[in-house]
Amino acid sequence: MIVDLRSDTVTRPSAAMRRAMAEAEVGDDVFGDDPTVNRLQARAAELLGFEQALFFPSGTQSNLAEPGDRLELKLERALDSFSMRLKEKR
Amino acid sequence: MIVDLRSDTVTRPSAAMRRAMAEAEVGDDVFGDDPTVNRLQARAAELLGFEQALFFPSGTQSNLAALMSHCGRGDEYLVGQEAHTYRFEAGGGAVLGSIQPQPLANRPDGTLDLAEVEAAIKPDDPHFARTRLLALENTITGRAIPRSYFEKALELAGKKNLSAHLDGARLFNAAVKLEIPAKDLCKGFDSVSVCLSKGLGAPAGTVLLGNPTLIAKARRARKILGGAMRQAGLIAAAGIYALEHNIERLAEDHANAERLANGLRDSGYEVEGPHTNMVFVRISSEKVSALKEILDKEQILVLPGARLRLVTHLDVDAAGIDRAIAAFRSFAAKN
Repeated sequence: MIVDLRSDTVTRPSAAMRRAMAEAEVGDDVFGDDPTVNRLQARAAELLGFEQALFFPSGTQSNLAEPGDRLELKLERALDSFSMRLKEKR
Repeated sequence: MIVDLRSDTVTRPSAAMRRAMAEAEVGDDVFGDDPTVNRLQARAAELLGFEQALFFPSGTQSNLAALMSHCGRGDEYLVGQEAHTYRFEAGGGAVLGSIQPQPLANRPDGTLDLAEVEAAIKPDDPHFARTRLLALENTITGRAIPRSYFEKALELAGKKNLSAHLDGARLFNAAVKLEIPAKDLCKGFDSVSVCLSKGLGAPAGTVLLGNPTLIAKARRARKILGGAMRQAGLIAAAGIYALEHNIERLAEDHANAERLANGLRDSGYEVEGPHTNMVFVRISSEKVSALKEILDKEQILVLPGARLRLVTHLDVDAAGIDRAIAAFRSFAAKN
């Protein structure tokens, strides 16, 4: 059994998390049609006290997203703290 | 039951694909530790005749990483006006790559006039951006372009020291339509981007193919663009499943597109195509919203426009096509 202390990015999804993924209702999120993505965004925004949230494939990309206006900047911060929060919970 | 003709991106993973995802062995792909991502990359490379492949969350990012791998700041790529890499990727090459696009008109068959391509290559002179890359696409707006065209295009690129990139988001639609191996359509290109999410039905993901030098650059670009993911094997498993099960069946989508085109022509519509899995219908602009209303009522989803694009895919069967035809026909009868 490996003890992997390289990073907290190495965690693998648990059986329960895999089940939630396997059963997720999906749609085309580019059309705004994915109910699970919409649910995650609504939940994260509510949890962290923001009006909106936006789901990204990575934190690098979320940080990079052009902070051209206040809303986007807020979104980045929201997601940053959300991913931190998730890591704390693990 | 909704018949969704907006795009082939709307497909949902089947129960068997979900099972493959749920059972996927995973690791941290940024450390190169994800066995399923590694397996997908090896399989795609072997299938398409390249040394290496790299998994991306999206085709837009894969294309952009390819542009950034071939071209540096102040370089230029030659590309069609209708090309996804030029028109539909929010100008990413210019915005994030500092790469100048040189767009050229696509001819009615989707190809670029190679004499125009040659004329657009800039001389080595500080007035001009350095022309580095020819970016082509197959299929383009559904049209499958035969290999003979690419032979000539690649010969020109070689003669002029340009690299060549193929946006093969729907490469397998072209291969099935032209009845030649996908590998043969890729031959001679320095990089090819292939979508796993459109006709092939995976929920997300694209593979970029190239030699180890190209892929090393693309990996760096992917990190900059935020496309490096951790336990990405969960999505890659869907990609493997798609490559194993969903290529040959694209012929059904093409048959359904033909059924749709014939039905709409018979109902009096001005129809272009089918081009592989796409059909285009001319609707006079004042009728578009009334048509949309009728289609919505019948749960036929389309992206409204005067040149209406209808796309078939693995979540639409012949019965769904017949329902769509019936809805269009009833609109034509009343209008």
